Amino acid sequence: MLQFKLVLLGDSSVGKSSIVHRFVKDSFDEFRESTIGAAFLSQTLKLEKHEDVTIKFEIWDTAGQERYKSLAPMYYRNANAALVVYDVTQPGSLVKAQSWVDELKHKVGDQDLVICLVGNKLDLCEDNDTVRQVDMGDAQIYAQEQKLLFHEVSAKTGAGVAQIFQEIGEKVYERKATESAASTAHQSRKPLNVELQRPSTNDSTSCCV
Amino acid sequence: MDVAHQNPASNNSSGAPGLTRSKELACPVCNEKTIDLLQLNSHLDRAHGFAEEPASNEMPQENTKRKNTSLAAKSSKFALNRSHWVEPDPDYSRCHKCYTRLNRSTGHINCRKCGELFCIRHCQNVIKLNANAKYDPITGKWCRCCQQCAHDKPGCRDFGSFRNRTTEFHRLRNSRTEDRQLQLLQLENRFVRLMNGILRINARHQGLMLASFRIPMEVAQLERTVVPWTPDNFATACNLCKKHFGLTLRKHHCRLCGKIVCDSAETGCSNNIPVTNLVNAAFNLPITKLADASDIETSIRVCSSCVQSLFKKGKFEKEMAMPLSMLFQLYERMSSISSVIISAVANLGEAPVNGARSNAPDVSEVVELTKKRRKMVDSFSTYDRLTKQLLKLNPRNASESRIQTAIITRASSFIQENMLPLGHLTAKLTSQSPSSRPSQESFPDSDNKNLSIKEIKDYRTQLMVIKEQRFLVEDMIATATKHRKFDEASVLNKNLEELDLQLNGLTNLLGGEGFA
Repeated sequence: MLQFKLVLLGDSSVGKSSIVHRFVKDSFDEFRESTIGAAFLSQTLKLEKHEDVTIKFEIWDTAGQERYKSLAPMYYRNANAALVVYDVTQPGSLVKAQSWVDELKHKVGDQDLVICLVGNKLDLCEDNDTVRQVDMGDAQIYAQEQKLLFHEVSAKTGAGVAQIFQEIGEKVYERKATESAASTAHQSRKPLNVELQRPSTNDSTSCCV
Repeated sequence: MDVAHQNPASNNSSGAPGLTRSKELACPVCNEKTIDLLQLNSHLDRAHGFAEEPASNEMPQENTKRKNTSLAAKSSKFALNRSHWVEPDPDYSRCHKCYTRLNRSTGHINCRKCGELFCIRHCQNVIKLNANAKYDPITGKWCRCCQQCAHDKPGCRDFGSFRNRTTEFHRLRNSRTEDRQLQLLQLENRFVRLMNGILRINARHQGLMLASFRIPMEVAQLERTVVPWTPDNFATACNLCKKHFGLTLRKHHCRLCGKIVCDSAETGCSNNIPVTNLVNAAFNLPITKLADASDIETSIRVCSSCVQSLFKKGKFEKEMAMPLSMLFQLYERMSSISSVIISAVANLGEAPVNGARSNAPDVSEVVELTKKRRKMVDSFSTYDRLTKQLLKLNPRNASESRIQTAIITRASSFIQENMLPLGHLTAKLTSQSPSSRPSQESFPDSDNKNLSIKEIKDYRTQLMVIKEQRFLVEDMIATATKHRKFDEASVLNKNLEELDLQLNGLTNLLGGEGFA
């Protein structure tokens, strides 16, 4: 199974952890405490476009607070994908997100990294549009300029979360595939994939639980 | 024995030639003429009892001494070297072991081996020695010696070879604990599945007419799927209390481990526990709670050992999380302050030495001392305040009141012990610098290389953050290994290494400005 490192960046309390938990555990906690340092989660994902391809995301969910800013470089270094999250009800968070994008482009280099701009808390402005402070069009134009993937999601309702990861998964997989195709052309021996992970252990009929 | 006896003899023959040739093979002891080396050797061995000692220059002395010793009289062949013996002195001699004055009643005996004087009681061991008072278990003669020398003899208290089993033990213990953890994990999984299933069934039938009839049926079905039950005829006695089943004692199955247990009220091997209670008790397990779990009447049978292993940890953690009683809170604060005071006192111990070396009062030194003094006075007053607060508390029971008095006694003695250096310090300060004391209150930052204060602050925060993160990652690794997610653990381990690298970098950068 291919493994990809994914990092979440963004201002504090925009909902990074909530997005990850929606993706990994399909749950939402209204009163989630703010993250300390960086949390690690992993999740496997079946790609829709490519049949029987399963990839695994190693997700580093960093803390948004200014205090933990110094930790971020360690986690976005060598990352395959970055989710830069902002809050559609907080215009300041988009500015922060843009600065993250700049930092990523500056420090990591564009070609190695799939960056996805994500506007969160879409559920808040479903009923009345006055709550919305960041126009979808503005963010989209910015994303196009910078060649980023762009989504607006709601971690609370789960709308659009799966699509982000699906799209990122496809993107990183395609990059990896072209890369490995180039390398296999270079040296014909294909690396052997050994399945080291144990299957799910919740089955009472299996002997080892 | 023969072989060992020959060896010294050949030693002699190799060591002696130069000596014997010059004296034309005369015996160095009694000048008796011998024909050849072999004869001289046997003569020495026989007549002078030197089976092995080639050091012939000592022998004449030995010989003269021997004439007036009682020991030599008894065994004419054997002469022990006495040059190392301690001379007994009636006024001063004491037993080397028990330090009693040696006199006629206690007796005074030299240990033949080490030569020290002992009373009779402490020189009762015997040991084989050769003439030069060296250990010689084969050809030596039995001699009196002290306990120490008897024990020091090579091979006397040998412990034999030993094998280090620590790693093996660690491995075994680890596998044991891992097994136990796995079992617990299995139990937890079953429990969560069972609870979730029951809650779901209840939610589905809520408000329906046949609910009271259908729910028990479906629960019974579910119970069978969670764990395979041991067949009834497998057990004739309760799995826990070992009592035999009969008409009055019926068989029951634990719904979590599937084993057969009794339900006698006195042993409490198994109990019918309401689901709501179980769900509430297992607050640390991921049970998806549905709307109102409070009015569920279903209860399941669980054996006492499963209850123990399931809830023991959670209960312990809950108790640990509970706030300490006021008494212990205060005591904790007191003990932390007392450690501060102790370290400060230890620091003060060095200060007077500095002062003595340079007679002229140094301004920075004085400032430093003043700072220290102020700090100590502060901590003493805090300590005192805490003691008074503690005194005011009303103990809840007898043992608490005993603890309280003990703490207060200790606190007063602590203050008395540690206030003394503070007094010295004050005296020193007043004597040393009556004039130049408060001249400058701001201390120039000593030697912060090239770092500005802001940089130092930044780096310190970074250091702290990284240390926090390191701690978190360590915790995550532990959880991942516990849940057998080794691929996650390896990723985390890699991250831990990176963190360590960064940590080292920062510590080097900060140098002396890091945390003490």
